[in-house]
Amino acid sequence: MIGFGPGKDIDLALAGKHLGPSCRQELLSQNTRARGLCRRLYEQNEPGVLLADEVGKGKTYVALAVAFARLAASPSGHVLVLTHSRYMAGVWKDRWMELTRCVRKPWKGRWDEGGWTARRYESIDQLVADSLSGNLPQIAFASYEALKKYGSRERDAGCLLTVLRRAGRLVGLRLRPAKQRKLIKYMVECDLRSVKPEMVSDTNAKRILAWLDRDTRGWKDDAYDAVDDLLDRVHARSRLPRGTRFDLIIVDEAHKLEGTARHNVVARLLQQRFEKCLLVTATPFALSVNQFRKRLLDFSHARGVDESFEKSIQALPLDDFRNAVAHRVPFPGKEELERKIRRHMVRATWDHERERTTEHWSGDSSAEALLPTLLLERLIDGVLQSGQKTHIASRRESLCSSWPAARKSLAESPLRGADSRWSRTFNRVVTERAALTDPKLREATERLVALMRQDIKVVVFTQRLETSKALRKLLDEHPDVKEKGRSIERHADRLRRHVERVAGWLGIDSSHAAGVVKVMAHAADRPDIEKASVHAWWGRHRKRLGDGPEAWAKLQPILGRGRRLPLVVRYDADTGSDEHNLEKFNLPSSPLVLIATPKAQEGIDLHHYCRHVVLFDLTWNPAAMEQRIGRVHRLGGIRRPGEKVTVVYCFQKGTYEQVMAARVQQRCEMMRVLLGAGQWLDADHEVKELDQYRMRFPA
Amino acid sequence: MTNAALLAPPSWGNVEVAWILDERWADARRLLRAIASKGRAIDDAEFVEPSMDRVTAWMPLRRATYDPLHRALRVEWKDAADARRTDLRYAERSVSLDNGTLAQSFALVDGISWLVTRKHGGGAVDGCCPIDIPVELLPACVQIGTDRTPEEWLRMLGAVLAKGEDDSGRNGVSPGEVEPNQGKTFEWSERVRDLAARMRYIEKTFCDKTLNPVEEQWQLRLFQRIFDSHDPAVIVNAHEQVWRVWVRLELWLVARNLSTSTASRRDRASWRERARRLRRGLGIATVPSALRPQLRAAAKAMGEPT
Repeated sequence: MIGFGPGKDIDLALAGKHLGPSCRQELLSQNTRARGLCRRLYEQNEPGVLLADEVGKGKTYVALAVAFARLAASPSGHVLVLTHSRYMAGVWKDRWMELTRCVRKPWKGRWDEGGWTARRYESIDQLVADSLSGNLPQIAFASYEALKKYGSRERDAGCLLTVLRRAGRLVGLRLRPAKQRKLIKYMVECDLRSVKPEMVSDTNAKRILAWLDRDTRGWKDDAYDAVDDLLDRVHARSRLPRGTRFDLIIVDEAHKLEGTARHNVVARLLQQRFEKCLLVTATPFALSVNQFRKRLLDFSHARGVDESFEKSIQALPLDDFRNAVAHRVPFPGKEELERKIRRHMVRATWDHERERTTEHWSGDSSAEALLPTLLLERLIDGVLQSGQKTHIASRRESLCSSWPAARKSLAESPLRGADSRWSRTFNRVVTERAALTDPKLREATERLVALMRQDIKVVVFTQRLETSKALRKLLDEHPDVKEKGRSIERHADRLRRHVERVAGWLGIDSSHAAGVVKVMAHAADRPDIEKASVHAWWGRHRKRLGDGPEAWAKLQPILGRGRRLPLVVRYDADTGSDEHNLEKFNLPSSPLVLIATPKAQEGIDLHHYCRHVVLFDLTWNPAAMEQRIGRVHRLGGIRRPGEKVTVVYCFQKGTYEQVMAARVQQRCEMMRVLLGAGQWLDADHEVKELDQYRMRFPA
Repeated sequence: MTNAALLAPPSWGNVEVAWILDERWADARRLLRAIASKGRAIDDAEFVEPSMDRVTAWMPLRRATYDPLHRALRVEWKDAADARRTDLRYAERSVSLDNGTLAQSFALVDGISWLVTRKHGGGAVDGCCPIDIPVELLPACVQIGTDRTPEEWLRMLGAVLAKGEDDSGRNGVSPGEVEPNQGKTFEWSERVRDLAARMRYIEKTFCDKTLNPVEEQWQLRLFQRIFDSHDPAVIVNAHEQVWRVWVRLELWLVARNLSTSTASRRDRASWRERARRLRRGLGIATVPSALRPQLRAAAKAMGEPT
């Protein structure tokens, strides 16, 4: 067994050494967690474990340390890391390379000699090709998105062609080629001329043929979904070469396995092709504890897992526990349940009381917000009366977010056509211009400007793109922000004249110094134009800006050609990656405010110079809020002992947000007792009541 | 017995057995077995009339009718002589009749719509008689005073949505677990939908050709009362002010709709005139200045032809 810790085979504290001594204790505990995971997987012989550390606790490194331990024990083994995006597959691969620096010398040699290979896969075809040629790397990185495309329309059609040709032999139903084509076309839309027969076993062929109606010689009424599912199974089983095996699969953001296609990657494509499974997610469930059970059941797809495992997971009295919590009645089996879950889960949490402070930008709703609410409700009533359907909660949620979001939501929903008189009135009341006077937006703008005056960096999460746009517009047009921009521009102009001198003082090339000076000019702690001051600034930020010409050269595209860095940036579906808004925000300079949509809630670090996160909109899913807070509350950055991360909830009483808050509060209860997360609004009273049910899952 | 007959073998759902035999199952079973084992002919069976020793209820009234406009209760006896032998009671009190048939200044009590007939001297259990109210006089049952709140006036208007009837089953909220204490509904949604339902009711009522004049007059008076009582000028709370203007806007829209949809030309003209009057009296000028542009924009947009 590999040793974890200082002086042992691998020390995770070394991987985060650059984070500083304040994080050392935290990093050392990562070793303990990695050890605990290995013990469960390889000593207690569990088929899988959930690594459910709270966001920002370094789960990536812990999981990769387990991968390292596996490969060290079985040098010819293979590990597959599944991530939720291609970008994250790259991030994991980079972290793996970082990890190689913190292992002891004998192990380092493995990489140096090219013995342990790592590869990122962009498509399943690459993985299949490597598997066929016997060149699977020791550790492979791929996204679910890449692997879930194991089937295709052509392959579906090819399978059906094979199956229908065999219909006569298997079920005594002879079909002419024209009929076969017709049946295939009903199921799959594709050009049949390019379709070639695919391999399908007789058993699967019979299963598909069972959906043919012998009398009409056509598909049965409800055949479509069933045949589609059968074809998916066929492709999943046949796509990877027979001998493809992984000693360990690591699934990042495993809560995303709730999606059927992603889940099928583990449950079908990789079924019985892996020995052990490590699911990595800070939020193994959100809306229901049944999601938690499903994650545990995912381990049953590992090789050699018998039915008793599935039965034992099904038998966990999670629903009884949930009922006991909901009704605040004693649950005698708590210790037993906790003991059982501990076999399958490890979780470390932040000390919320010491590390987080919660603020509320809430108040009673303004009377100005009432008329749009009444109009929206009247529209909803009209839709319901007309017998149409609409996602009412979503419509209301959009109005809670902002008026522009509500306008957009209305335009794209059946509400628009239900009763033109009411929709016209709604749009007349909430005009483009009036939309910017939305009371919630105005309040948030003033509060954000107050933070900007103090040069505090803030991440604002909104639920809707239109809200992000409106908020940015309001901030950009605010007189104080404009004045701040002009002031920064003056400083930038002054510093720009001294690029050569700064380059000389810092000993860097003048072409790179231009970028550094630009950051310097936009920083809140910008130096005076004198050597000592510039050196002090450089000392503070050098690590972040990169140490060397390669890193400084990368600054250029991030900073752009404009004279000024914006004070407010967005990150959403409308902002391209070429705008480098995330990278800009992670600099020690402007922008001060990043307005992000859910696009930024996972897999992104925003903590380098930021300790404030504003949750402008509530979400139905409490796990989403945890993820958002986790972008800022994580190891590293400007985190110091005693300095808390500020979490701000924007919330208007008397609006639909109050109903949302009440429901989410209930959903948070199980997150609170099982995960120690889900601290919600000012629910201190509730939290104390729940303490008796709280479970812990140490390494 | 019933349980055995419906659910247990050998009868298995024999409802007739359960209904007819007022006996314990054990006794009936013994009896049935005895018959079955001896194989008796049906002619051997003898019909014994069941004895009914129940006390007769005293039901001397043919009908009782209430006229809410004159607050008069008129009763009709099956036999006029029974009037002397009967203590007529309503809401635990005796009702005194003029000429044995008419009670003046009679007031209905909420929830009690029958008279109790008690025989002097006993010998029969109390009987009862429902109080009829002619359909055309029903609206007049509701007392019209001027000391009602706007909400009370509104509640008097027609259709009522069941309390708590919300769209939670249809609103696409993600399927979580059944959450206890989930009675948290959105108040403004309920108010808007309740009002909309009442507006639909009143519009339909006025379009109804069979509406009798008494009821029409009553509905018109109520319509106006609701509008007048929702005066935004007499309250301070800005939210309630907006709500009151909203109610007035809805009533104005009803009047506008009726000015084109009612059957007779005279009615249409009358509703047109009423709509004009209501539009002028919306009271938007009395709400705080910050709210006026919104409300004016709403009134203007609603007033445009669809």
